[in-house]
Amino acid sequence: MIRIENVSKTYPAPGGGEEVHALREVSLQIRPGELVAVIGPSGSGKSTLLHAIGGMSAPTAGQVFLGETDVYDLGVQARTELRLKEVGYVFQTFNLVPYLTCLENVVLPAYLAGAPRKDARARALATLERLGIAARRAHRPGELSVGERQRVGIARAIVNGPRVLLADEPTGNLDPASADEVMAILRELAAGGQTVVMVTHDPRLAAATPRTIKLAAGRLVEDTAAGVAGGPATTAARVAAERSLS
Amino acid sequence: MSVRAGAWLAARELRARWPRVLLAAGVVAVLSGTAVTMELLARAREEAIAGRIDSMGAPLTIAPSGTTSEALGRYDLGAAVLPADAASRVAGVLGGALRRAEARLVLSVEVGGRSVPLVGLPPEVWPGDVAPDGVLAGAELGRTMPEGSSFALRGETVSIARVAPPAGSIDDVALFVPLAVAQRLAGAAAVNELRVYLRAGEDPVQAEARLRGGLEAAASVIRHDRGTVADGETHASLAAHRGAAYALLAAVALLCLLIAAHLDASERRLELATLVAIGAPPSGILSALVLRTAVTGAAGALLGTAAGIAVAAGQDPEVASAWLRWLPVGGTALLGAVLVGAAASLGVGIASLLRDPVADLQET
Repeated sequence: MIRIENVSKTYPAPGGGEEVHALREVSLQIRPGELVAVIGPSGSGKSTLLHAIGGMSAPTAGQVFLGETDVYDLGVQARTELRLKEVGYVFQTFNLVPYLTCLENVVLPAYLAGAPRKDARARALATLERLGIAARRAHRPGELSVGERQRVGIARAIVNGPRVLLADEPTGNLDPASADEVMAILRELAAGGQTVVMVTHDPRLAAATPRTIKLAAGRLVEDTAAGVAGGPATTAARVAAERSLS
Repeated sequence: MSVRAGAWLAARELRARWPRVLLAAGVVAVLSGTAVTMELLARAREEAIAGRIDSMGAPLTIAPSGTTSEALGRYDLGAAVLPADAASRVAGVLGGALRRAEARLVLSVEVGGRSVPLVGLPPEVWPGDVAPDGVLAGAELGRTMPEGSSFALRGETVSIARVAPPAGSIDDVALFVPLAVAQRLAGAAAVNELRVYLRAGEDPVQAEARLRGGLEAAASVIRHDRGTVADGETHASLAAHRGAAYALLAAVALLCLLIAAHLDASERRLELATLVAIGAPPSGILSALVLRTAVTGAAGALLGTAAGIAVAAGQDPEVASAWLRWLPVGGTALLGAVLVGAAASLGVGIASLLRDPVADLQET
């Protein structure tokens, strides 16, 4: 369960101007095994929300819970450990380590988590096989197609069996066929019990997800899940956000 | 755990990016090779100069307890001998400052009705082309006892094998035989003079003080400065100049490595941010960066040291013959390269980790 309570995030403006409000009092809950698409225009706070959930960016106000753990109540070391074992990150630009092979890229988090070398390698290989990319294990990222790279990125994110998978525009750099494949993988992971939160600009993909959260100007303006974070409240927030945008 | 993962990551990067590693190691090799060549040639020259100064006489002499400088000057050492462990105690007290200690036995013999010093020389200084039963005459004595002349020495007839060049000391009026011959004549396997030669740059005044403390009342320590003090001052001055040159080389190396590490860190901001995002601890990331640079620096320094020894040996045969003695110079270059590399990558690595990884991730 991911629980976000009144989270706000403010950045100091460059040059000392007005502060940037990336998130404003966002509250929501995401149940285990849910596949959620976070949509909204550029600068609406989608990635900030993702990084706040992932323990990468402390909110200015409010709390983020993974299960019963208050993420930002943890020390830096414990939060690093949480990211390593409980959270998986998938990036739009894949962000694979260029000098490692596909297999080594996937071995890395397992190795960081303290797995013995043989175990880490076996787990990584099994994950690559599950995603249908084991044949390319000895290749470096530069030698793969973008679709293959994203599969390796997903394999790296799930090799430690995290409860939460955070995907920032995972299909943003992919052709439609590869995007569909990646979406199928994310759906399968959610069906397996992992919570998947995906930021996307693609309305086609958003429409294909069971639940969509829409942000505008840092506010949660729409949540398609009934009874979550208060439907009327989100409608009011949407009106307020649209006014502030106009 | 994190350092283990860091080492794993560093090893893979070194393997995958070997041309870049080779280039960086080459820069380190040039700098460390320059320093090693300079140092080896300077040390070899200084040793050679110190050797020439030593040919004028030892800066320190150990004689039986109570011997005065004047008596030593006349080779009037009487019947007293040095303790059997004198040489080993001198070596223990002086350690690396000692170049060599030459044990002699000085006797007084009657030759042609006059008293002449007879000096037993150890095998390492006995001329190789003079037979062990031969006798050398000092330059002054050689005027009346030229090469080939014979005389009676304690009942045996011996001949002068060679006349030694002038020494400007009592040695000019002495006879020289191998130490074993002198000990046989004396009937005792003892020595009564220990000439102490110091390494280039060692201060004879300090060495004298250490020897006096170390030998206590067992022997007299007599110092003859000759050129050693001046040589020591020259050595100190040149060492300071070389130190300044090495500091400049180290600064250039640090600057090069800082620039390289900074460019590298800028180039891999996304990679570092990704590592943070996937849960790599800062210690793991830092150890990967530091190990990579340290290994590159070590490889460069090893290459540089080997090249430096080869170049210096080509310039000066003294380096080639004593290369084992110069190994500490290579060790220092190696350690310096590793430390400078580690310092550069540690500084840049910490600065990189202090950046906001989210900003770097969102830039893409």
